[in-house]
Amino acid sequence: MAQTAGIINSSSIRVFLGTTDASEVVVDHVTECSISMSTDMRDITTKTSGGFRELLPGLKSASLSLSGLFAEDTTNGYNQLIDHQIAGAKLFIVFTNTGAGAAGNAGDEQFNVEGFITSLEQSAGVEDNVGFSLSVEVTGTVVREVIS
Amino acid sequence: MKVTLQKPLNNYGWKWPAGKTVEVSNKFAAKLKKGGYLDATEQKDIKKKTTPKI
Repeated sequence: MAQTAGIINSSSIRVFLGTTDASEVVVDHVTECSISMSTDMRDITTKTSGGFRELLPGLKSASLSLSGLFAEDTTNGYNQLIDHQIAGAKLFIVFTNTGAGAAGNAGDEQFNVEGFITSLEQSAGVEDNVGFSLSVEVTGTVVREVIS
Repeated sequence: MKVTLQKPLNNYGWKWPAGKTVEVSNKFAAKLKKGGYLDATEQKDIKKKTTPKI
């Protein structure tokens, strides 16, 4: 398949994860997902900076979050995620574009990262869906790669 | 991509029975295929029928 042309439909963005590398399974019943990368700045301002702050890039980090609907009978949902958090398991995560199908669209780009669950919350109101939200802090390199 | 297991899997952090359909990453699909866990997707060559000459 070729790279997707034009603006991407956000429903095509999926999160796959597992506890061993290259063994990721889609997270079930996700309603929203996001990945964020940030770069700390080093202040290198001196007397010769002419009164303006000067910066250089420092530590880079990333985090991922998603929210979804709770179901007991998921293949990879809240029940599996809470087990990973209790075990302190490292997660291998692919944040990818599946296009119209269920597979990562070859030619597009995806994130491939590793991380640990920092927060997992289950929420239940009155006469509403039971939901959950997940936050992951990425450890190590943030890989942005072409889907093959 | 969606794959259907043709034999039980108890590896890579997952435990699934044969016949289960799961949506996996492209790399995991390749790993499962290599391990012989997936239905054969390659179409077998169709042998040409030959009609005996009368």
